[in-house]
Amino acid sequence: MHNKFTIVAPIVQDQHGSVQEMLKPFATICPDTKADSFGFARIDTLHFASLCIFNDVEGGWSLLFEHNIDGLIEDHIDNLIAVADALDGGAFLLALYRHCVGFDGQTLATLRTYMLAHVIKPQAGFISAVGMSRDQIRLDARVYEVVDATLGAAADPMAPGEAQAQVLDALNADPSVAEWQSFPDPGVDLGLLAKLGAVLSLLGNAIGFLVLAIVNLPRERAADQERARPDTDFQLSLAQNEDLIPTNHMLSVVYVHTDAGRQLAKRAAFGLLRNLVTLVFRKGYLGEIDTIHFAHWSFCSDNRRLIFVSNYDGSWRSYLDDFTLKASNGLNLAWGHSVGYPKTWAMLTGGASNGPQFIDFARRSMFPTLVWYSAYPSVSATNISRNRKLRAALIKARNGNTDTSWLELV
Amino acid sequence: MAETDLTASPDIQGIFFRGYVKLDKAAYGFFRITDRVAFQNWLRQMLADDLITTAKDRQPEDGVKNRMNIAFSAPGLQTLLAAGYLADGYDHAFAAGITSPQRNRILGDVDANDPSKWDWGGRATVHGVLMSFATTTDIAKERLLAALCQENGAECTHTTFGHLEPDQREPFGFKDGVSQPVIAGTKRAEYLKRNNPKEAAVSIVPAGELLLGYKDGTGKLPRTPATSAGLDPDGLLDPHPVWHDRRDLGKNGTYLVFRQLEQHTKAFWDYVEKTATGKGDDTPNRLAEKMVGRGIDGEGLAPGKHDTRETNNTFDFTDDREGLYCPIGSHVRRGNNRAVNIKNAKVSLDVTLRHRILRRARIFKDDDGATGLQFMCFNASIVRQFEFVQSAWCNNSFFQGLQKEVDPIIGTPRAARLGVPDVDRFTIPRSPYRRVLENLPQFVTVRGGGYFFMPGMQALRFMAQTCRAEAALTAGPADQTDPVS
Repeated sequence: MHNKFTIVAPIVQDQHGSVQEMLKPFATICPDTKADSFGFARIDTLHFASLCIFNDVEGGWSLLFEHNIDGLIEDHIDNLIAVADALDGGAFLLALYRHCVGFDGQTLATLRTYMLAHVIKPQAGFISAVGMSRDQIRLDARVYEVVDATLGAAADPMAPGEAQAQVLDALNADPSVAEWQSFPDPGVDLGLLAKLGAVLSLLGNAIGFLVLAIVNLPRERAADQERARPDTDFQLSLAQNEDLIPTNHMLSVVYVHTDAGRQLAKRAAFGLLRNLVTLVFRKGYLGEIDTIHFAHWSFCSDNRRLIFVSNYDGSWRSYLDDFTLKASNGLNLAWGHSVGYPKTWAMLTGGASNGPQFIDFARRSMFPTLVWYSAYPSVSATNISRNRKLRAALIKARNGNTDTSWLELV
Repeated sequence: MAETDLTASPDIQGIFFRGYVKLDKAAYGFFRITDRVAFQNWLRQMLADDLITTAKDRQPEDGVKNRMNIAFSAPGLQTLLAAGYLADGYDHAFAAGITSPQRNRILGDVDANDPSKWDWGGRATVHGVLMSFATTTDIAKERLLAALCQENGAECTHTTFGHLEPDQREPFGFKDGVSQPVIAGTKRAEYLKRNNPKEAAVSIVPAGELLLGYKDGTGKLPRTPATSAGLDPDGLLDPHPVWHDRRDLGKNGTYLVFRQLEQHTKAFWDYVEKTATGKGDDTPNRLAEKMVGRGIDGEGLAPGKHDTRETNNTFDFTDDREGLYCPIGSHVRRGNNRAVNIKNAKVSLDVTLRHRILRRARIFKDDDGATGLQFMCFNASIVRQFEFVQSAWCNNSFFQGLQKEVDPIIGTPRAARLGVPDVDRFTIPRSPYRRVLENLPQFVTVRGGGYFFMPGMQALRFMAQTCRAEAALTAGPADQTDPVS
């Protein structure tokens, strides 16, 4: 089971510069990065993590710590704290959070409490590798590597049966994939009860959404749009840590309209998205998009602001282009009724389908990602899903299945 | 609404539509403006003498030996227009320039391609390029230098010469420029729609995808640069479509991407010679064709026959999703993945058509034997078109399920870093399983490059008079004289 959440903590006035200084040296962290003061690679429940700071005209600066994990939030924070303790007695993490409002700065135990108190759970989100733990993703990736190496360049390919036999031998002989046939794959099927619950919730939210869409229409059409373009230096500050590896991260924080009608409509829209994702988008694709690892939306700052974090393959520009061309309705559901958003109809049409205006809006809502960790930078979301199929087919082959069509997956 | 025939527009610079294939020799002069008043005077004279030619000037008939066109970089426009350069309206890649470190990463301009090693456009700022096309290199060069080497307020910082091969072959030996976008409403588009609907479906784009001032694929006008109305006292320019108090500098203009790409032809053919086993399909030529994604004579690699001009674009890859004919990672499939961008073929084609570029490449051959392409392409947005194709498709190691490879021809191989393995292979889907070409060297090195804006003729006329307009503004009311005592 996955969880995705952020810990949003207000920064003591005028100390955001110090926070930035502490975080800046890290940029992109991967499992073999030496300079990793968080010990991310040692937290075995962690898929992706990021840290950023963002500001708010009313609330000042906040520190945002994003986590995409296996299992329960409490257990994960225990892991985070335990790893910090083992690394440096928690010195780095404590020093970081001493800049945050309301943290007494004493011990890792109080930090744990502080973090839990500041956890924000998402309204809706998407995960492509449904059900897959970090360890499964990595094991599947190693299995692919063994298969790929065994097949070699294949200038002169083996017969399928021979290739299969050699691959199975190689897998059995390689200690790095010792669990290749036994490691469980939880699959993507949803239990009947969960399905039923999601359908009912979807219907409830749909009805609420439709009513609110009509009620909100006059306000929606009258809302101001911001057409300003992101300035060049701001774009550079965002691009600075982008495209260091083929997967990327984005953080956006927008203001949302706070009147009850539109706030409720947003809740209903997120209810729709959440249940649609649960029911429909379970096979790696979000509609036509297959480049998102983990993404989610959540409210913060007394519901005045909406956070979006995403870990996706490819460049930012291609990601946003994908969105505007292939998923503008979904984006409108999530981002509609945000201050300055391109004009929508009933939170469905318009909006993001106005590509350039939407892309400017999204870019201007971003804050530079200061630290970003990926537990498996070598594989794309598509690779992960291929590797999953490959290992499943190989387990069947090992159990006597003579179908060698898995060779086409490699 | 009946569109006037754009292909004969007197406001669009000629190279855009014409390509000047009969003027098969070219000289390009990169310049830096040193005196904007003098430069504007020179530009005004060039225009008065009809030396900058347009789409209306037909293909060179007998006697026509030379055509010239001109384009400017962002620093060039900034220098030329001063306060009339309003950065906001330009494509942001153009405004930032081709050499910022962030762009280098997404374009693959790192390591051997690093701009600090370029012959031009890397270290020294280029303000613009004057392009001269002629029947012989001597004429192209002489006309170029005659124009640039006078008192024109600019210094020529670099020149390079190019030509077209009679059968459109590029230096690796492949027929080039086989697939080009065709502008809707033109005679060519109408012809295709009537006689070759399959090619029409994958080729026709609205004018606004390639030219500013016309509707693009979303049915809206593409973003267009603005300039100050105060600098346009004679009303040469139309009002800007968004900022009504400003003027539209973009109409009939287009962004030009120019990249000088050296091709290591010996390394390319040595590699396939060395790698091919010679058994069955595993021949040097076939491996080369698989990397390019077309046959050496421009044939489409797709089920059926695609070996003539009429048939070599009549496919959309939907019957070859696995890439058994045309590998998914091949150069042309990465550059134009037609209807297989995503699962839904119709949406996919719409997406692809938002990322087309119009290419106008020529070949250079230096005295030291170095050869390659002077790659030129036109688009309405460098970010959305050229850069997108280059970064999201060609240089993306995660392109459509691939993992450890980039475009085998124009991609930049990368050594392992930050947990990402070496990116240096090429996968050829085959039955029963794929063939891999390993340790692929880099066959193309970038030697120069720049982002330019090629204005329409009216915009050029405007640009040639802004110093005067400025002077008039600062001079105060013309009739104000000292009171006579």
